[in-house]
Amino acid sequence: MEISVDDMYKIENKGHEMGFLKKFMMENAGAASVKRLAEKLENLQSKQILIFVGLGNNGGDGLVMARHLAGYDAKVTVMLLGTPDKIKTEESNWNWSILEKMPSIRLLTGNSIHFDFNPDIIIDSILGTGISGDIKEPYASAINYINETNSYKFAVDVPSGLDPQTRDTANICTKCDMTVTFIK
Amino acid sequence: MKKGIPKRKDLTGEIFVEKIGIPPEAEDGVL
Repeated sequence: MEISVDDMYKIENKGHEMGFLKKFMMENAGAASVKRLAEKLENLQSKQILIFVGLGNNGGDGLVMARHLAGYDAKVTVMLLGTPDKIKTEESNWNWSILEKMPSIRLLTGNSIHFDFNPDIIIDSILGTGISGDIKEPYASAINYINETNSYKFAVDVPSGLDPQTRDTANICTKCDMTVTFIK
Repeated sequence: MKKGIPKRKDLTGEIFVEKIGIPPEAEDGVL
């Protein structure tokens, strides 16, 4: 069944009002994503995984994935595209605060898209369904980096830059090998 | 799934659809 982005927002908001809080939706989305990735690639234990995280709730899904991937003994690096004080939502802030207590995960922040390792897997949790206008820095550089690598590329919910309602793309968009998208 | 997703497999790659546990009752009045 296909659903509009607006209707999905309404359903999420109604679920939240019923007491099934958005942090639980985020948890389920991130956990389901890792389960699918583990089924697809197997042996995550030896993999270098780089997670690009935006400041909204799509980024929050990536933060949940980081925590679950640590449970697989993967080598996880989170690149937050901005600074923690700019994280936009309560759910994402809550998940970031957990990662800050996990030495098993390397946390990077800011605008620099340079890394001292070659990731086996890149997770795109930069932008979700609410895009409008051209994609700006540092998001644009992160998307370019993703598209220029030979890593396996995984999109959370939607490749960054793709409008999941119209199927149009912004000025730039990630091209992924696998996408896990969510319904109710 | 959101309408535009299956039309851009050139960008999404292989697609998987997952439920995230929202009560079905949250659809009432929306769908």
